[in-house]
Amino acid sequence: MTNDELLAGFLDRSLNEDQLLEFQARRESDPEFAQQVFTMLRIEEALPIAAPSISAPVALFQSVEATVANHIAQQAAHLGIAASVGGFGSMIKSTLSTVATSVWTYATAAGLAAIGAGVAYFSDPSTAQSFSTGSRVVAVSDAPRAQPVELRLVAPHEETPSRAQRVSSDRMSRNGVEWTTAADVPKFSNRTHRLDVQAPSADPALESLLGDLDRSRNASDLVRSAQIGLAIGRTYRERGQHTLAERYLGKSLVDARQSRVVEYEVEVLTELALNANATGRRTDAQGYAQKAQSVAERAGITYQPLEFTDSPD
Amino acid sequence: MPTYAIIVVRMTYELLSDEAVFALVRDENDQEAFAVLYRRYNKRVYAYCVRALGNPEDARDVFQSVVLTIYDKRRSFSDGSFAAWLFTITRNMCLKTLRNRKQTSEFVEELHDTEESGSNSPDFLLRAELRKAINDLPAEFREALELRYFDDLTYEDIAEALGVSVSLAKVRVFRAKKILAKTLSPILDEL
Repeated sequence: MTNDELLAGFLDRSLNEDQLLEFQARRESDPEFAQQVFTMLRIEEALPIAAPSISAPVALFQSVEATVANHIAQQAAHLGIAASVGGFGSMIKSTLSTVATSVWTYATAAGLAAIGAGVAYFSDPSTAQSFSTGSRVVAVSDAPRAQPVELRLVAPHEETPSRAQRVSSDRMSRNGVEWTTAADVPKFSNRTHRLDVQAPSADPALESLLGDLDRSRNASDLVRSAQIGLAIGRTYRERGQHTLAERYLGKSLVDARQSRVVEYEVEVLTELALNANATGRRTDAQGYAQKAQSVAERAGITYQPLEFTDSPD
Repeated sequence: MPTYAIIVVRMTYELLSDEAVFALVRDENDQEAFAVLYRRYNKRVYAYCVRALGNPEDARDVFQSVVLTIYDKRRSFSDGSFAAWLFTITRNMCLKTLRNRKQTSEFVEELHDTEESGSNSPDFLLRAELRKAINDLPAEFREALELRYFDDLTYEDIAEALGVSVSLAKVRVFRAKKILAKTLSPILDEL
């Protein structure tokens, strides 16, 4: 690849891993290219703030909004259509008709659940029924990974995770229910439950990863740091050590963004969504999931968005 | 309808994509859905009009026309990106206005220079030089660059709005940045 092709791909975050390695090698061996990269990055940083500051004419916006509302009402009257001007029943109907055929069904359901307490929505049985999907299973498709991952809601009375899963006991008791990955769901038994209250033992593989992370950071190898940080964060998440998971995933996200490996960025955001979901922070989970999707879409990566569905009790 | 239910329904709109919300406008004549999209894009469309036309008066007229046109032409939107379709219409209406004026547009520097006058920070110097350099770019490069960095469009949406291929949109943005880098490298070295 030419310098321009590499540079353009780097700036667009469209280089694959091999190309990124080629890019890094060339940057290290060619000072002129390194300078070019530096200058382009400075330009990129400055461009968003170079946008002209144009004050928003609030009065104009309000006036146009009112004009359009009037226009819609007139057209609706002319055509004999019931426009949904203040007609929230129609809004609900139309919203439901759309979400019923959209993946946003799941996002909407999760969003409603997240704000449920705040707006006391579910205190109204009739409206709650309108939006209920009748299911409490969360299905998550995690596109960056080879296998789709499915989240399942596990009731505490139903099953208890095994030690093999290294699920901590606090994870089991949180909110009386627990989210875990179906791909990881072990064969549960009450006997193993007793073992789960013990602290997880040291893991040579994990310790090795932590050592690798230190070395890659010392070598300023951001790509490798992002990759290892992701692996560590995922391991902690799968063990139910969510605070540690979030810490390593957060660092990995920074590394992924700085190294511009968008695949890692998407994957880390997906992991953060799963981690937030596992700790009951549904709004955060939604935010991470949406960010992952938007980053993937922007980079032209095929991405199966996270899907949330309520499961039956 | 209880107030809390209304709040929830409004929040569900916020969770929908532009295309899903506009489908409600097109198929259900849903005014609330249109208002949601309007609030998502009004500032960006207006800013685009000001940049393209060079003065707020023309921008106001075109902005209002764009909003009404979007609603009137709602049935012509079938699939693809709503943002690309919106900016295509906005761009065409700005070009039409410019043709009628029979003059090319220039940025109105007063619009954005007043707040920063007197500043001597490195950021300010770079920003000022950058704006100058952007204004000196060839029109097709400048337009692609602004759609990317000022209007936050994807390359796919830029391509659709400009009626060019995605690869050409990428090339234009990259070349614009290369020109800027060349023009500004002496300044960057000093800062």
